[in-house]
Amino acid sequence: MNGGVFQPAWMPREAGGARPPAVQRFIAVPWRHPALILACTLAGAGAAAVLSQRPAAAPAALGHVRMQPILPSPEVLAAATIVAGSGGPGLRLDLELGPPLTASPAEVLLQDDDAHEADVRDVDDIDALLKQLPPAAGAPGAHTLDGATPAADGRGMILAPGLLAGLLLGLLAAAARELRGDRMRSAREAEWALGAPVLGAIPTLSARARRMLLAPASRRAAAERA
Amino acid sequence: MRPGQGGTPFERIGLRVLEHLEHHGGTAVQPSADGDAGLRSGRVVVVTSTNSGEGKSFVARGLAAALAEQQDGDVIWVDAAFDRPPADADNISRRGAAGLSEIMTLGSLQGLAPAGVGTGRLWRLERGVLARPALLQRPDAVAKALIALRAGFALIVLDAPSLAGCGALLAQADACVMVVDSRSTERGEARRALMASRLGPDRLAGLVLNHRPRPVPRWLGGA
Repeated sequence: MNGGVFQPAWMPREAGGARPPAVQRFIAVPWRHPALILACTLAGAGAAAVLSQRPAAAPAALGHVRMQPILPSPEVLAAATIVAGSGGPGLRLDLELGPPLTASPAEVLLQDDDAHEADVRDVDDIDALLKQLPPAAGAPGAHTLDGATPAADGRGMILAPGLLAGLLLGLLAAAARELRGDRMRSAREAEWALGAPVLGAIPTLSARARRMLLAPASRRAAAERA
Repeated sequence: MRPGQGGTPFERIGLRVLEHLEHHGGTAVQPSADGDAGLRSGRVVVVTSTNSGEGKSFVARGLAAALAEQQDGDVIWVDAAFDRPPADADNISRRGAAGLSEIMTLGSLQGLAPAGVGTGRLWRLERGVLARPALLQRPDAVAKALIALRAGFALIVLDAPSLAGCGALLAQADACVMVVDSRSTERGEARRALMASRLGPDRLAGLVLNHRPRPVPRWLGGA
């Protein structure tokens, strides 16, 4: 007897399996939930791709730069710097400005390959710099950056951590699903827990497979031949 | 075919159950009024689980069909799960026809019907209209029904309630098959239910793991 509850002599009080079930479960995590892990990994990569789109559209990373003609708060420009340098097809214009500048933009494009560099202390500094540039056709107040190509946006560097984060998230989700509760997830684990032999195991089946399994052998054979 | 070889899971389970029965009391033989076999009676296989909804009915039905093809006697698959509402297919009970509960209370053997699957040796018996969970707690009623069924069939496969609700059925069982659902059966709960049932290895034929997850290959450290 065990605290008033019948304890059969054949039932093991402790584990009797060759390998502790927790280790089996841990090994089974990636094996049994590949779809979940793959989905989380792809979701992480997708989220990273979306995030990488945001700096790509921002003025700092591309040669195609957007600026706001009327600045709502000149104070944010205190530390701003515009650097426009020539580099052949890789002509690049880096702009470091505050977030308000990205709202309701007007295009700023360069047509010459001369280097332009200026420290922006005020709205007038930007206006003065832009006045050096020829206006863009068809866009009042805009300028053209001729031959400019997008600079490297670092997307690959963002995708890799996104993939890794998604993979880790998938592994965590799969582990939570696999290790949740105190269940018996394999025949060996059931034998280990209950001390009785496992006569057989039935996988999760579709309704059609269940019907086939219950059908007589002759009908199953005919269906397999068909 | 031997256990561990090919075939459906139910065929492998059926062979293991027949081995268990043979090891604990001899081969199941069709009862007959003639000859020595008339002295023998059918064997009772109870399919149960820790909780309801873990696949007992599916396993009991498949096991009964497999056993009907694996030995020569008649097999009857009996719905004794009085703890759950009847399934949609249970038209006989809904129409008020007799079933196991009528045999337990009235001794009537009406309600037997061919199962319609497998060989002609497979029969079925629904629960009947008098089915109540408390009925299974009456040893006299359970014994009366099973004596009647043992006299007519080589194997009686009972789709029983959960272990706690089996009542007197377990005492009458020659082999008990416990269904374990890998998705829901809690280890501690199953152990407690098994210990409380006082089933020994002579009557507990073994476990059936339902909804088995994808097995881990041996090269990854799996069984």
